[in-house]
Amino acid sequence: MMAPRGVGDRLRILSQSASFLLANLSLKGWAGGSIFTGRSKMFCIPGLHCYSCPSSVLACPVGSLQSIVAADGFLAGIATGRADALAVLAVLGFLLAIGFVAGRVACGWVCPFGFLQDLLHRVPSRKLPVPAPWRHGKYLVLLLFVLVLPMTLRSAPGAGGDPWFCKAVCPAGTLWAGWPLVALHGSDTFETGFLFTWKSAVLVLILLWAVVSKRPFCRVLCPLGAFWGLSGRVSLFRMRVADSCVACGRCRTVCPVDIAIFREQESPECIRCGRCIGVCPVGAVRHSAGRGAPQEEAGG
Amino acid sequence: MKAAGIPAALRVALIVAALAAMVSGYVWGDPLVIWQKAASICLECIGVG
Repeated sequence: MMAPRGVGDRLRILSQSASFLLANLSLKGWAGGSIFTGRSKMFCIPGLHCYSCPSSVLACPVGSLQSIVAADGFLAGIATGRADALAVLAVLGFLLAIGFVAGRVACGWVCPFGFLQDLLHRVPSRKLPVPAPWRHGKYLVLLLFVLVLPMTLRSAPGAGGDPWFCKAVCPAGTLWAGWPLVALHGSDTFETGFLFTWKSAVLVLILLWAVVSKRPFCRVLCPLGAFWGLSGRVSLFRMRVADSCVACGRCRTVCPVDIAIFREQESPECIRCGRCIGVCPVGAVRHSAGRGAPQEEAGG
Repeated sequence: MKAAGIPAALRVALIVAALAAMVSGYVWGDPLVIWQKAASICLECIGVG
């Protein structure tokens, strides 16, 4: 059932659109197949957006994190205060600050890839749920592909590691950078092989999945979602459900990540979009700042 | 302590600590590391590296 769109919904779409445009201010890359090289790329976008997209003016936080931890001797560099290793604090501090303020709010209001999935899910089709246990997949992706593999796998002693999430999983990289750059340059410049085919297949599957399921990548695979979901457990701004809740389930119907907020007020899945506030027939759902314990227990 | 019972002051302190970490990363770390990766075409992201 398609729910009517309220002011909050329109505001969120405006925010997502504006974020996408602001992150892609350099359009000349599309003409020449190059990428933007300005100093704004020292700063990360709060979302998943590839820094090799021809128009991107910001860095991808996941790619930046991997490239820093993959450097040879990263942990020793942290211990000895090496400047290139300490740069990890810039990325982690940025991500943690967002998570501690409002958890996954950037997933709902900023992230270009989340926005794309929201749009794709509007395509009329049979809709399918995502099995709840699959939600744990993103924590594995964060741990394995973003941290452990880049830090440990080396092609040769003394060499840096690879950004394994970018290399093997990231659909945003394929969509915003891989396909456009290969199309603009031709496959002579970028020799496409198994990896390109693999990543293209992953992207197509995720896009198709987004048509039938709500934000499947965010819920099952996104390492940023995992990071902000965990840090959001102690975030200042959260959702609250009051005692007047009648557990009608309308909140779940409209929720972009398919949670029943009256059952899971502290859910690490919640992207703070606020759609549940707009549809609640008794006005029981609200944003809250401060001490987390609800003043009243939720019904249902 | 359950997450729900954490006082607001502690939550604010966490935000401040995260912002301090971010600033120290830019001041004492080398943010050019981020820029260098972001300003050159990432072959892994494209799927050819």
